[in-house]
Amino acid sequence: MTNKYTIPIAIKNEIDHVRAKFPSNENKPAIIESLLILQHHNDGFVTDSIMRSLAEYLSVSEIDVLEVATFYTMINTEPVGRNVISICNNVSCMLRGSDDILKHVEKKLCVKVGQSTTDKKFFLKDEIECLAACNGAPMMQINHKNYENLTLDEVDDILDKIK
Amino acid sequence: MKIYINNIEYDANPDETIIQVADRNNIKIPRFCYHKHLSVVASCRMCLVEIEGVKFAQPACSTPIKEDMRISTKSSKTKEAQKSTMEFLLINHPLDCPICDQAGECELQDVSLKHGDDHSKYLEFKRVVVDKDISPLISTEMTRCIHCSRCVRFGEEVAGNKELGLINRGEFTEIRAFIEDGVSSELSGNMIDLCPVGALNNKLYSYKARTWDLKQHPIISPHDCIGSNIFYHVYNNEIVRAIPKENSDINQTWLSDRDRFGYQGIYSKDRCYVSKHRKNKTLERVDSQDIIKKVNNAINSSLDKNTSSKIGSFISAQSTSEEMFLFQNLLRKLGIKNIDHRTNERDFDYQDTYPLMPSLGCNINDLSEYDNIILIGVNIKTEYPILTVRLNESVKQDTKIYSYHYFNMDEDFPVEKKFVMNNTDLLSLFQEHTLESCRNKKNLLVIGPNITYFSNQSVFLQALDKFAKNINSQIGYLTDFCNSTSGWILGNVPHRTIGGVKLDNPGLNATEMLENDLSTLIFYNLDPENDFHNSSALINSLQKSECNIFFTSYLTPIIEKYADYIVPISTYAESDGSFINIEGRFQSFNKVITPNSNVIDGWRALNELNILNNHQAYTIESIRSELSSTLSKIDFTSKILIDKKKYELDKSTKVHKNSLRHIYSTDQIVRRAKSLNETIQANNKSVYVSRDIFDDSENKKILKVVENNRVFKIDNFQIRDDLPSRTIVYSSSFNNKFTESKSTFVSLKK
Ligand code: SF4
Ligand code: FES
Ligand code: FES
Repeated sequence: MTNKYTIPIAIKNEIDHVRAKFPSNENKPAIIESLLILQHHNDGFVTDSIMRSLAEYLSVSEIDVLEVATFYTMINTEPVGRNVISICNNVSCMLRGSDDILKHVEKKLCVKVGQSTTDKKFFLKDEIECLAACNGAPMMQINHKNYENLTLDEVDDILDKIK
Repeated sequence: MKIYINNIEYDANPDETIIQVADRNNIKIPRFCYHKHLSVVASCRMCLVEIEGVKFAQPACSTPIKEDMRISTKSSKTKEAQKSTMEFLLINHPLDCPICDQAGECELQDVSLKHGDDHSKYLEFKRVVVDKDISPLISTEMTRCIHCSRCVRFGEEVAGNKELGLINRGEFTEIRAFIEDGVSSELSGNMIDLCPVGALNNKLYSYKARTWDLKQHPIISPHDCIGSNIFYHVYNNEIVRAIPKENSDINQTWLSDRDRFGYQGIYSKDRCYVSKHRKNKTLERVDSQDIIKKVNNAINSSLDKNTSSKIGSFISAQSTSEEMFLFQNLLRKLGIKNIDHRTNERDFDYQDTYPLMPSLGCNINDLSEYDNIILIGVNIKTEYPILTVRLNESVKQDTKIYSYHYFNMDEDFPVEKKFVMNNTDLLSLFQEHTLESCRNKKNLLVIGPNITYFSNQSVFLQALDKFAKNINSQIGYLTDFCNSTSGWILGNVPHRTIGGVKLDNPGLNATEMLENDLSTLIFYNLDPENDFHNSSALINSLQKSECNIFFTSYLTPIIEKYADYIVPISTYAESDGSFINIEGRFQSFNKVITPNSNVIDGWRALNELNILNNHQAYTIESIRSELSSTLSKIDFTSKILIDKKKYELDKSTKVHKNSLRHIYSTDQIVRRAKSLNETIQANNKSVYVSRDIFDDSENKKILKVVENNRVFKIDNFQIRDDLPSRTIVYSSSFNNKFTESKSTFVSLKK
C-alpha cells in the first residue's frame, strides 16, 4: 500500500470552506473542488493516497472520490507536465483547422494528446470540449490563458516563450 | 387512480411509477438498471414504453403515473425503442454466451431474444476491459458489463459500504474498486445476483455446471439465528451454489456471504465418513449398522455401573430441532438429566429467570418501528450481516442506533453513539445509566452472544435489566447459533424439559459437567476444539472419563485422540430438519443432498437408539407434529429477567480477557468453508492489548497472562489505543490456541 498522505492544515481549511457551502449532511458535493485544491498543491495531479486521505477527511467512500477524479478531465490521476495545453477541437475550432494545430503541437513536442513531455515541461490535455471562445477559433488555452485566431507560426512562438 | 396499460384498466397509487404497476399486474417490461430494492437511475433505457400523447417513448422505471395515462408495452413505437436500446447495449457486449456461466439465466440473453434483432450490423472493434481480482468469492468478466450500476447502488444503498464504482466516462466507463482494493462487504455476493449479465460471477460456481442442469432445493441458513431462506443448486448430488429464496419477512431478496458460501464446509477434508470404536487404545473401523448398537450398549452399561448423574451430554445449537427433540427425549427417558447446549457459556446463575427461549422481541420487519435500537455487545456487520440491510432501512426511517461494546468495531449503518468500555465499567454504567435521548420512546435493547460468554453473565444480565427498566425498553436477544431457540424450548438445558417446563431436580449445566469428573460424556455435533467455553477444562474431563461418545460430522484431532465411539452423522443439508429463528419462526426443510453411504442421518441415529431401548419410534412427520403442538401451547409473552439474587460487583483491578465472534469461525460448518476463509475479514486474527497494559508490562515482547493458575504467554499482539483500559481481546473466540476461556478475568505477571 502507498504511504499515507496527511492533508496539511492550510489545505484542510480550504476544504472546510468548500464543505461549508453545502448542506451539513452532504459531503459528496465537496469532492470536486477539494480535489482541485489538492491537485493544485501537488504539481497538478492527485495520487491514490491523496484520494484516500480526502475520502477519510470528508467521510465519503474512497470509490466516490475516484469516480469524480476519473470522470472530470480537469483532475489528473497521473503526474503531468508543468504547463497544461488545451487545444479546443469542438465544432467551431474544428471547422477553422484545430486538427492541424493539434497535429502540429503533437509533432513539435513529440507527444500524443493526453501525454506529457519527458522533461515534464508540457502536458497536452485530452478530451477538450468547447472552451467558450468560438469567436476566436481556432484557439488553445495554456495554463488557463486563452490564445485565439491561431496560426501554426503563432503556436510556435507561444510555445517557445513558455519556460 | 386508474391507468390503462395495453387498453386494460388498472388501479394504481399516485406515487407509483409505470413499472411498479406493471410488475404488480404481471405485465412484462424489459429492464436492466431497475431493481425494486434499489434507487431509480433510468440509465439503461431498456424499459422504454409508449405513452399516449407523449412524442417519445419514456422509461417506465422512472415515469410517475398520471390519472388516465394510457401506456402501451406492445405498440410498434415501444418495440422500435426497445430494439434500438438493445442494439446499443450489444455494441460492446462480447456475446460469449457459450463460455459464460450466466448463460441460461442471463437477463441480457432473455431480453435480447425477446426484444432485440436477430442479426448484428456492427462491424467495428469491441471494447475490452481488463479484469481485476476483486474477491475470493466473486469472479469478474468486465467486458460483459452493460453499466447498469446495480452493483454500485447495492453497495451504497443496501450494504452501506460502497466499494465498486463507475470509473472514467463515456466509451471508457468501467466498474471497478478503488485502486488495488477489492470488495470486502459481508454482503458482497448479492452483487452476483443483481448483475443482469455475466460480469460479476460466483467464483465457487465457476465452470462447474450449466444453469439448466441444476436442481433447486430450498433450505434455511444454519449460520445465524435470523434464518435466511436459501436455494441450494445441486448438480450430480453436489451443492454447486446458493442463491437467496425471497422471503419478505426475513432476508428479502438478499443473502449474506456466510449464508451463500458457507456450504463449502460440508465438503471439508476432515469430514467423518466412517464409524469407529476404540479397542485396546486404537480406533477401529466399525460397520455403520453396528455402531448404534455399540453406542447403546456403552450407554446402558455405564448406566448399570454408575448412576445416571455420572453421564453428561452436550448438543450443539446448530443441530436441527428434530435432533434436539430426540436427543433430550432419548436421554431423559434413560434417566439422564445432565443435558446442555450452552457449551460456549460459563456462568449459569441466570438460568431460572431466563425467558422460555431467547427472542428478538419483535419481528425483523418491525425493527424500523423502534425509535432507538440499543446494541449490547454485538457487532451486526460481522455477526448478523443480513441485519445490516434492515438496520440501514431503519436508520433511513429515523431509528437511532446505539452500541455498547468492549471493542470498537465498524458497522455499515450509521451509529448515533458508540460506548466502548470494559466489562467492569459497562457493568457499573448500566446500574445508573439512563440514556437520556431514549427516555419515553419506543426502545429495543438487543443483547448479543458475547454477553453470554462473560464469566459474570448473570450479573450483567441483571444490570441490563435495570438499564432497560430505566429507559423503559424492551429486551431482545440475538443468539450464537441458528437454533439456540430450540436448545431452550425443546429442553436441551438441565433445568427445563420440552416446552420450557421447569424440572424440580435439575441436572448439571455445561460447566458443572466438565468439573464433576463424569464417567461418560456424549457429544452431539460439536467441535471440541472450538465450541466450548474452556477447551482445556474439556480436555481434562475427556481424559478422566471412561467413555467418550461423539456424534459428529467432522473428525477433529481431539475427537481422534479421546473418542471411544464415533458416529458419523449428517450435516444440516444432508437430512430433513427445521430451525426456529430468533423471531420464533419454525422453518422446515428437506434433505438436499445424499451423503456418503456410511454417514447416518442424525435424527435416525437418535431414533434408532430410542427403538433399541423399546421407547417410542418417531418419523420426521411425527416429530414435527409433536413440535408444532408443543410450540402452539406455549405462551411466549417475553418474561423479563427478575433475579432476586444479589451479586457482588467485582471491583478488583483484574484484567479483562474477552474474545470476538469472528465472522467466518462462528460454527463448525463455516469454519471449514474454504473460500470464506480466504477473504480479507478472515485474515484478521490477532490479539489486541490495551495501551495501559502494555505500558505496565516490563517485558515489551511477551505478555504473561495468568488464568486458572496457569501462565499463558502472548508474544504476537497488537496495541490498540481504542481499546478500553485493562483489556485483552482475542479476535476470534473460536481459536483457543492461546487461551483457556472465551471471556473471563485474568491477571498479569510482570
Ligand atoms: S458489473 Fe453487472 S451489475 Fe455492475 S454495472 Fe456491470 S452489468 Fe451492472
Ligand atoms: S468550439 Fe472551440 S471554443 Fe467553442
Ligand atoms: S430499467 Fe428503466 S432505464 Fe433502465
